[in-house]
Amino acid sequence: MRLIILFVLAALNGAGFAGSAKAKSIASEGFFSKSEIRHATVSPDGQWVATIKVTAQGNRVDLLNVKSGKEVEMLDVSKLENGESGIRRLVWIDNKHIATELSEYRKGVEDLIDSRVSSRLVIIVRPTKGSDEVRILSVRTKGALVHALPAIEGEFLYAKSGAYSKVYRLNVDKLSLDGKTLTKRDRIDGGQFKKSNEVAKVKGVATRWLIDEQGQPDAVLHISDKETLSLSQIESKNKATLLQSWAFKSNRFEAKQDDGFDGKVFIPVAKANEPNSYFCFDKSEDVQRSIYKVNFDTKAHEVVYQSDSFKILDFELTAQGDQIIYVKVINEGKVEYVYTNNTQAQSFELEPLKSATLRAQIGANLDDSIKLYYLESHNNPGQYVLSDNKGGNIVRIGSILPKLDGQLEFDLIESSVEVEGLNIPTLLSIAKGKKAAPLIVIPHGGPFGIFDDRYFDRDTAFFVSHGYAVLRVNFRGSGGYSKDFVEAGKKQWGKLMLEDIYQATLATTTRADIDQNRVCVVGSSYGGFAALMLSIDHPELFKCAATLSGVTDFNLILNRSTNRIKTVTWNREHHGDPFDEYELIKQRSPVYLAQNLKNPVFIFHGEKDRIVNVEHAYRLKLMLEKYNKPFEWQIDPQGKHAFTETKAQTEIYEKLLAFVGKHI
Amino acid sequence: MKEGFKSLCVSFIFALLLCHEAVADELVSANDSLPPTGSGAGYLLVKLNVGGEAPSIDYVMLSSEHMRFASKEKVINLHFLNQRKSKSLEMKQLPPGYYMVEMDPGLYQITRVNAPYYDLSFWLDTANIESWRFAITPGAVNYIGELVIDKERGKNYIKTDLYNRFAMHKSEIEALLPNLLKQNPLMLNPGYRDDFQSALMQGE
Repeated sequence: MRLIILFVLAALNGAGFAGSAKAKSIASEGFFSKSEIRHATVSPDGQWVATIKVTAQGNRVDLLNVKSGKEVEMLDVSKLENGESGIRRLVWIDNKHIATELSEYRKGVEDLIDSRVSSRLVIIVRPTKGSDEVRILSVRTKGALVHALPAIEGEFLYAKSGAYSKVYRLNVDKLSLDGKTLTKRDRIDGGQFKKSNEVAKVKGVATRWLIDEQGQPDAVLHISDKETLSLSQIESKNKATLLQSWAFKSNRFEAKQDDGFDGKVFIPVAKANEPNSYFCFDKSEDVQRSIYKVNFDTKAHEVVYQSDSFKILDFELTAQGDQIIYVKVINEGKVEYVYTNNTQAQSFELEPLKSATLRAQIGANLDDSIKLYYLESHNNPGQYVLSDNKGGNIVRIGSILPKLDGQLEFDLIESSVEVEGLNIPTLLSIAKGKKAAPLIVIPHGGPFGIFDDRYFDRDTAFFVSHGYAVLRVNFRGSGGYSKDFVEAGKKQWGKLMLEDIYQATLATTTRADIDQNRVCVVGSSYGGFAALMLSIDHPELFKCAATLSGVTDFNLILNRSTNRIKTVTWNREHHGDPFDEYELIKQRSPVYLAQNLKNPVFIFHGEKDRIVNVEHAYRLKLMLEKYNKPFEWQIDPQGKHAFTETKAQTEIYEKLLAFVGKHI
Repeated sequence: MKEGFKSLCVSFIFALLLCHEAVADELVSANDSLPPTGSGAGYLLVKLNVGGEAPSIDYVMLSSEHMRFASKEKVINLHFLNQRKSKSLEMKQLPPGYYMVEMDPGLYQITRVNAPYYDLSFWLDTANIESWRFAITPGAVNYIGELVIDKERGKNYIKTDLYNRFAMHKSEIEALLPNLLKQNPLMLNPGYRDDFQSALMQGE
């Protein structure tokens, strides 16, 4: 999986070292350091790059002078909001002003804590000649930034929602300093929320304005009555025409009439640069992991992006409105940016753009002569660079994991194996020139719709740097290929999904550079289940297994109290019925097969895991004790499903490396 | 897991309390001095970790027969259950820990979890969700799980779980109730089939 943002910090000591001269030169902490940059954006004249930096206190905005290379701090968000605010959006209004949408985590009243997240807009005013002072202005009227209008100096679009929702054109020069006490003579926001500044309006609460490539409101999503969400096209300043509407009942969207989309519920999120076309989420999707481009006239629709693992919250388009720059995904309550490979069709002759497998153009100056890229590949955790149109004149802006810059040298070999009529894609990572490397197989979680990609994977890089080869398998049920491939995984969680991984491992161990007698399987969540089952089913091949936040009793997953009716139905179709198929479920659950385990097991689980109850780990522990099986285990009292806490991350990878090193 | 990447927040219905009547049963802190139950009743044992003003659960008996879980058809019929027949377990100001109450044997459905906010009534409707069930076997201490209602909440949601944590809590319960469990043995009794306890005890 590709995690652009890794909120982890560790200081590992290289326990269980499998032997690699290259690996010894890389400090383990480099893999788990907090990512340096979260996002970057270039000014309209291409002379400045603003970056969101992640610090121990929270988020900070820094500004880099491209010519001089000098970088200065613009805004430390923790100083504004008691250290509890993040940055949702950072965008240039003109060469002097940077709009920064802050998210505020509000804590509330007495016994009950209200943790609603709200946002507000502040404007950073860059110091100019003759002044070193950074000024922070703010919009005090509740609303949201709609468009920064970078081609128009000092102006931007801002929306207010209410019985009538309106978009206003505001001027930064009329805003007050953030936090300044206003006098009687001062007007809030300079009195700019007036009719003459209105750009568009619609009846009802607007939830999203859809802006075209010229920066004009094209359409609006709005709640037209209590249970109806509508899409209206903006005809003029005072006129909006209804295009489509959806009923919203019991937390579900439904088309109000047959809309020709065969049950898919496309809700527009952004305007595409073709008439009546929008980038949409499909609200009928079980987990919001796909972005579609939909033409509401012709009904043509296609998937233009699919997340490899997490729920998509939002995304940002290029200024031309033709491509996605990044998607924001949610992982354990934290928002992460995932950039898209939106320059795939272009070829570059110069490094570092030439060899990057993920090459996302994330910004450009107004005349498009200077471009800001995010680059990533299997051995590059991610870096931001400025470049000209030919990929030359590179200016390095920063890296995700600076300590790994240029340090990782390993190959990624893409292959496949045929299992029961299906072509199963595999990704093998191995150090250059390695002979008879021990192999770690890492099945991904999910299992449905998740997939491993060819970009950077922290766990893979970590193990490869310690001398192991790493095999990842996109077994049936994985996303990223086709709907049929996902559907092929139905009720195969304990059968063919595992067979796919097993056959892929067998095929890999025939390679001369892999030691077939030294294979271990390590996985998280469903991957942890797969690790245990593969070790149970094939002890001759998998000499050890590690399960992190892993499923050990599938019945517990099917009977989670957080499962809603929709999930229960989906589970029955994809996993099985806990009433009618209990015996089958039991027969393929590691807890009930513990007596068959022959090789050592490593168990790690977080006590606050609400996705895979820590009970899974305790059940396995009791059964392993009952049958006197060898195992190591650790419970993190504060741990959740994913590893995001620095200390836990440090401990777990240290122990995991030692465990694997001991057994293969 | 698949839906692990969905929001973990549980949606809550926000509405006025209308015609809702429930007879309250009283939970007592689990302790070894409680008298054993006879053959006509069993103890419910729940671990509580609940926050908020006055949390409680409402429940109804699905079947008085000595059965551990119902058929799927039973679930559908739950829609038509008369809420007036429900009982409630009040949890106001109960500190975290194990609690018990003596109950008639049978299969029960927790129909809703109440988490009022001052004079506003928030509740989670669980009437048609099989995982919000428990069973009472006579003459036994029936472990039904750990009920969590987060103190932290949003405007329209609150995090609520009923965790099956038998393996995690087993040794704690055995240490807490050494004598009572000799008379009323500990039973894992969620309202769905779960063979873990019998698998663990197999051969003992």
